[in-house]
Amino acid sequence: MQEEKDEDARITGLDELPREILSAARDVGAGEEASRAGTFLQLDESAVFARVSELFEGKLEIMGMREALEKYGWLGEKYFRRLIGGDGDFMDGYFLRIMPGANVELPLQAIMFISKPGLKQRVRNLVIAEKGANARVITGCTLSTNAAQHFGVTEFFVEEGATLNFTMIHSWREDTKVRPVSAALVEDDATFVSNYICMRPARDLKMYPRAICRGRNSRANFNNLLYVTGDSSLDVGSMVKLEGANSKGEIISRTVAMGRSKVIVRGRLVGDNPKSRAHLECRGILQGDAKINAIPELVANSEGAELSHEAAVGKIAEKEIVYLMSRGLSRDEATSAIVRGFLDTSIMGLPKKLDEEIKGIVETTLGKL
Amino acid sequence: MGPLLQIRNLSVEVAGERLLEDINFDVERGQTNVIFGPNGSGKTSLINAIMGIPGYEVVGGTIIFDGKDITSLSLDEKVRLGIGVAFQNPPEIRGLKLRDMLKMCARKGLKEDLSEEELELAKRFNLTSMLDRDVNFNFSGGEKKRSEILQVLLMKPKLLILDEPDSGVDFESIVLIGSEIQSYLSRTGSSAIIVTHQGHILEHVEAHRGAVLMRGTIYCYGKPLEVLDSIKRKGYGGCEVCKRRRTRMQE
Ligand SMILES: Nc1ncnc2c1ncn2[C@@H]1O[C@H](COP(=O)(O)OP(=O)(O)OP(=O)(O)O)[C@@H](O)[C@H]1O
Ligand SMILES: [Mg+2]
Repeated sequence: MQEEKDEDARITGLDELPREILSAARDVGAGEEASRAGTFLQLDESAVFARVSELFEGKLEIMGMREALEKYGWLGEKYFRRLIGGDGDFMDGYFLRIMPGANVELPLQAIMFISKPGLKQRVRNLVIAEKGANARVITGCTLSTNAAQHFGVTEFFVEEGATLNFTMIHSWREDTKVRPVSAALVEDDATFVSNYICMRPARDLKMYPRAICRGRNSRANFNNLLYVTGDSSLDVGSMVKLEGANSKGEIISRTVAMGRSKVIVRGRLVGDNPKSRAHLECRGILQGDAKINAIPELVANSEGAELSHEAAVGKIAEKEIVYLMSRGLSRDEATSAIVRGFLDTSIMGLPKKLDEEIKGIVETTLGKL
Repeated sequence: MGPLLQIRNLSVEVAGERLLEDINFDVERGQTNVIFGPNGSGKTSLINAIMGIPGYEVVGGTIIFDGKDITSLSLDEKVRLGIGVAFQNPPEIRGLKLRDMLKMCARKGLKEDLSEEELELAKRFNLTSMLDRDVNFNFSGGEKKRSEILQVLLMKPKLLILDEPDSGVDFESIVLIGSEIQSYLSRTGSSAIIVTHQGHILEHVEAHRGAVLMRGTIYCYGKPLEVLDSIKRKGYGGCEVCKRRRTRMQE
């Protein structure tokens, strides 16, 4: 019965989506299929679309998580639930696999959408960048309905010599509850970059993704841009655990808190290897009655580990506003230009084209506010 | 038509403390005025008061620009009337590219590109390679000065206010800055106020009047090169005992 319903919901192209869904998806980065190496879409409970662009056939696989588990019995042994356990039920989710040595120049995209009021969307995702693969993934999570909840569990495996740049864009409503959980395993000479952009409020959002740099010369970077308004409450952290020799980590977070919002920004670097190095940068600006609580943590478990952090939280510097006003901007224009600059996507290591797209999303959102 | 800028009996306080006392100062149309004065004498404060920088409270007197009383206008309103200022110490703004700053100055939207002409000017200022850097962030002293002047020129103001455009600037850059400023002034008939200590810029910009500001008030007015020469010879100590102290505006 369930199966049949899923089949019915399937679409053969993004253009079949109702207009309101498509435009909301665009706001979280959904691009034309032609500009993507592959596309995945989950609508409410189930995967309704998964396709690899012709050009990239053989280089990657995209399918619903349930389908992947059926197709590949071995997933459970090596990957699925290996980093984040639990046997809880889930609706579906995406399975992205980038084949060994594949260089995927165009981004892969995954869209998670909630359209049913009050839905508790529970998903499990798995991303594997196999040996020597190089790819960037952009995922957008959003909704067109009220009182929804999103629970997402994502596991990443970045294997030897692979590079995975993962960008997640969230756009919620003032009454949405969101709980993403993720973990990444980064092997020898591999690089994992995780970018998170949240531009719309959420009633209650908590996440603390972690990356484990197990391999030698492994690298993990987290970049978080948060624009928090209204009565939102966000608790966003990132953690890098440096186990491998010569492993490196970096966490950069930029938070703009307005209105009566409350934001906790966490960052945790754990240096287990004597030859590991990591840096944490946490900057925040606030206006109105907003509150930011920055909690940077450095845990050195080994004498040679070099860990550092810098944190600065405060209101927008008056002299910067004055400087821009002296170039003819009004106070409000100056403030938003500073916020725009503060939420600078160029820290995310994206290819130029994608960076422009993401910058556009940030600017469109700021412009609509 | 009267002078472009007329300052009458201006007194200014910051946080209740008097910084400027009874300043009278005119800038004629198409002319350039120079302000000299020792460190901490109030030159930058005068500029801030003219511009309406928040915190610099005019407690007496008036500022007339282009025939209009602008004493109580806000900073951005004054800028839009045609006053452009190059700051002595501009702040850095992380994430804001010099390119975007220049677009703001040229009153362009962020989606528009700088014109060929604007890019050419940036090139003459040796700033092409800085366009995609955060404004003033890790800029050298001279780079900051060049970027300030370039920004002001792109604003096409009727009155340029330049706070120490030549301090810490190498010889070649002074020639460059000076000649670009002069060519703008000659071409547009705009006016300028220039604050300078050493007066190097005056080798390239034709100035018409000079004034010495000391302890928050104007001590004298005179021909700029003569004033400069006298400061060089006698120091500001000479101004204290100078017989020309506190004469009226006319030379
Ligand atoms: N916002 C302010 N708050 C407190 N004091 C100020 C402020 N602005 C200026 N001052 C004080 O007023 C005096 C004049 O400062 P100003 O910057 O105008 O001097 P200046 O003539 O430009 O000096 P310099 O040649 O060193 O640039 C100084 O003593 C300075 O400390
Ligand atoms: Mg000064």
